[in-house]
Amino acid sequence: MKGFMKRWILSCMAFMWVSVICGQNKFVVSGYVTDSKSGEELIGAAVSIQEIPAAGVYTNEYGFYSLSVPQGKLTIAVSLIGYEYLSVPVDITKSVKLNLDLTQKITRLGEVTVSSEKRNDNVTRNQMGIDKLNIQEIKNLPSFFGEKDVLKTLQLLPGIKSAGEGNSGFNVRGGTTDQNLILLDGATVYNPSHLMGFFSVFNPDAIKDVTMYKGSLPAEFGGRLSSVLDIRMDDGNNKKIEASGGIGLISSRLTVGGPLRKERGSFIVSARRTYADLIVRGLARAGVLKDTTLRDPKLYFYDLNAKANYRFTEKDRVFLSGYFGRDVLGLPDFGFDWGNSTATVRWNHLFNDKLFLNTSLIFNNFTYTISNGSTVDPINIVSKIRDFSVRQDYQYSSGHNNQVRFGFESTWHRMVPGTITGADTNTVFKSLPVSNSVESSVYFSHTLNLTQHLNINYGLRISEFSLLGDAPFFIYSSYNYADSAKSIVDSTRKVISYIRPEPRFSVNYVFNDRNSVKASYTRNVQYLHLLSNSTTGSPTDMWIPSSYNTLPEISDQYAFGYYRNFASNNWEFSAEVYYKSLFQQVDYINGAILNFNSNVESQLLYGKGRAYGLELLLKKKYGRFSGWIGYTLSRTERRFEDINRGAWYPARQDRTHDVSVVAIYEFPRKWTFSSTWVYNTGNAVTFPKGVYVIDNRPVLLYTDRNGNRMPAYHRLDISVTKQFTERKNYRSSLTFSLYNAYSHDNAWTITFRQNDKTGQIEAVQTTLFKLVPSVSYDFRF
Amino acid sequence: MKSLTRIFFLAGVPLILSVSCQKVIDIGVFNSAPQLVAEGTITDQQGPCIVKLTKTIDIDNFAGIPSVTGADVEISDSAGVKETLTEAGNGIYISNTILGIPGHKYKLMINSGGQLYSAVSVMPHPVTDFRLGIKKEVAGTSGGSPGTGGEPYQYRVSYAITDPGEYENYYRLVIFHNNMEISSRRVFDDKFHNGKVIEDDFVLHDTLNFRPGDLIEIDLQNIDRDIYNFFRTLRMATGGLSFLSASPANPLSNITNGGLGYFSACSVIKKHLTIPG
Repeated sequence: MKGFMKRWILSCMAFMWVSVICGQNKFVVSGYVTDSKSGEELIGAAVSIQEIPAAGVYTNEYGFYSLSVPQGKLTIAVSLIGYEYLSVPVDITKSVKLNLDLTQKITRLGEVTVSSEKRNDNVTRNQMGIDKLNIQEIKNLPSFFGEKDVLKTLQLLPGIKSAGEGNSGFNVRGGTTDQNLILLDGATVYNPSHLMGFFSVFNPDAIKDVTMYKGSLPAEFGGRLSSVLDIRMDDGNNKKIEASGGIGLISSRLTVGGPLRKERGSFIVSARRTYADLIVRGLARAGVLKDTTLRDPKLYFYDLNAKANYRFTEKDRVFLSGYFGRDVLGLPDFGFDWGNSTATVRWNHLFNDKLFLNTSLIFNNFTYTISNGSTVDPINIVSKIRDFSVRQDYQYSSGHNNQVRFGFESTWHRMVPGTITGADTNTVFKSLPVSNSVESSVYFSHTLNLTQHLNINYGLRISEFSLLGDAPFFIYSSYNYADSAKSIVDSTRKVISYIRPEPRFSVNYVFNDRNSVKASYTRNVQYLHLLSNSTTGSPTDMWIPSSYNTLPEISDQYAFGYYRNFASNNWEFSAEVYYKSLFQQVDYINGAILNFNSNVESQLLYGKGRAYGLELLLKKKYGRFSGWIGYTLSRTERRFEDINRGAWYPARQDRTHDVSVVAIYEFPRKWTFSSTWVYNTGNAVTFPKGVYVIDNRPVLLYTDRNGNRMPAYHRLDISVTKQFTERKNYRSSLTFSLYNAYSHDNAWTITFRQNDKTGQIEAVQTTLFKLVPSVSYDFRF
Repeated sequence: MKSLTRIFFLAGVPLILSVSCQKVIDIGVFNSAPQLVAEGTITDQQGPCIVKLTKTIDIDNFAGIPSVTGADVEISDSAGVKETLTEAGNGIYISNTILGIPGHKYKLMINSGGQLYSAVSVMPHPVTDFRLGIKKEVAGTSGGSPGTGGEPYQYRVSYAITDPGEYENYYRLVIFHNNMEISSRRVFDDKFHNGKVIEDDFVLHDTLNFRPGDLIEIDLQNIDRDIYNFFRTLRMATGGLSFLSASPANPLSNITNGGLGYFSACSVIKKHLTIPG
């Protein structure tokens, strides 16, 4: 930990130095963009100068912007989806502070009105492979059991695919689900799902902004190969107390927010709890469910989000945010519960109108507990991942669209793969060794406009990972068995460390305000690896650090895109192609034992991967009618020496075609209709080719890994929302949704069994959800 | 693992009513080259050692499994004993004299149509303490399979083994009802109990088949690690959770040259129970 402190101090000093040399003498307009009604800072609002089209910036994660301007009379313009366009004339004679208030266009729940302003951020922005979701967009779309879900809405975008029926796990550009970094107010969420993946842990009422980076990560992010999903919690209204909530079929939600002190600070508390257990109990007691052990089940999840912020001075603001969620599943003879908790303290400080600093202290903890319920041998096994992080992010603006970002991050991971409690004297199962590691990085990136048409961004992230001692470490000369452990290192010092540079580069050539092309190269490194041999994400999936045997995973992504807006920016079109090479990917030997195995690394195989594809998106952003059509053509393959005789084979998540169509139509103040339709090629799976007999019972014979395909998947969802007339500030709406509206038999699994009568082997397809209707009631006052 | 299946089911329940419809589908015709399958066991008990040789068959044509005839099958002992097995028809090859001795290493050699296969297994020492019990109880009690046949009672067998601490031990239970084998895939190791008493219990499925006075024989086999892994992965491949595995695979065989199945040298302790009234 000493080395870590040293690095920490050195990095700080390096940054201070950078901030000193970057001085320039132009005037600066800077400030916060906020929501006029709630006073909340707005993320990603485009602030530009009408007289100088190329000079434009976006507000950062805290709603702050800084724009260098020449002397004279200028018009500052601000635009953001869902808000009225704002233009403010200013006469620049010196640097000024200008806080801008935007008025929401949404006057009723779920309503979006027509807009004709020019908004071409998608064309002019340097960043590629980025998707931003408007929370209102999420709320308008059909939902699964009435639960609006951030992660499932994201799956409707090109390049982002669902990990399975009704599943909140997702694959980005051929990556596995563990290659996504999911951040909630900066804290890593290791397991973002509830109820075996059917629901995500993000309660949409508590969320303000969702940004997804598909591989072309800005230098400030790292640690995962495929994507970063940056979710920011709502700050709460700093002008008046507000409450909102909803009642659905399986859960209810309530959110309360308001000022801590008017215009200086606000808070928000949001809670959600399911009552599925009550339904199960009812069904079991009424005799609908035969299994008698279901009569008194424990089965629920809950989420609690809380956040507060306070502006101490004009230049200092502190945010505190936290999340706590838990799933509880229990039968008389088996118990299982898990959950995440995160806490973040952030301090925004403005050194001057050009230099913005955010300092964060982050804590997160994921635990699961299994109790085996055996009457003879009761055992509780607890597994944990706990992180403490500190990070500083500096943003320096100078000149037109000339922005420098730099900072550092350091995280202490403590992973407890399995600690046993409550075992009787007859059990010798030892708790698995705890691993400690430190993951640190420093980064620098610079975005600048070379000409009016050309802007570039270059950056470098240098990451370092150290596995710390005190647990025994093994080196396996060959896989399969623990006895191949060659030597054992048992020390309390740093065991092994890796340093990996991660260069990032992107260029954007803007032909005119409607057309642009972008290209990027990104190298990402991932030091933590998820071991899971299951098709559905399970809480028992285990994270392991990089070690002697498991090297850091690396990906190189090359992407190229064309962006075009039509009809006064009401329509946008984009086409992106990407090619990704992946190294040090992890797979498992046949019959691998992943849980409670102190030699788990002896069960792993290492290989490489490649993924490439084309993503098309045509989107109508504004108007009564809005929506999009997304199409992805892609291939994802892996190559392991010991799988399929070393040949390239399709990864499970390889899907050739993926289509999504989203349409929303609104009658202002009355009704909203929306529908989504998805189609995708089935996953690559392994079907048996032959059969043989052991002990007079059939055993299936498998030949090639992932040599077969599930049937194509398609599904239509529709929903109708009725807004009721506003009464004394009380607004409410009722939503009906149909999931799988034409009740298609989508294959969740295909299994093989012997027919009792004919004795032949037959394939059986299980469909999880046919037509599922749901209803929910939402309110706000 | 059964509980885990139920948890998955339970997780789905609130979402139910709409849930889980199954249908038989046609996934096309598959061709696979026939592969040799061996099931061979040598024990420390009197009686012939049996090796059964069959072949794999295409999955859409599972009628009669072809047996392998005319093969040369030989078992040898690390102490130098060697015997060629006699073909008894239907792919079954039997020995006349060879008897397994705990601690010895056994090698199976097969020559079938010019293809050579072999397998090695070391016979573990038998444990000395193996105890059994049986009781009749109310159906649906913890661990039972609720509602099997609808009987109000079920039979629970409990067992205890004193595990030797000096080695890793692997066990397999083979259960016979009136001399008919009814279960043979229950395997476990001593990972959590090395050197202690291993105690567990299970319910006899299909309660109606059992009548008071029926004879239950339980053979405790001390098997080697390869065989444990074979049966463990066999259970994974055929058990209820296989559909959740991202990459289904063949059971880990100890037969070389692409052969399937197993050759096990095991020591056996036989114990008997009577179904209570």
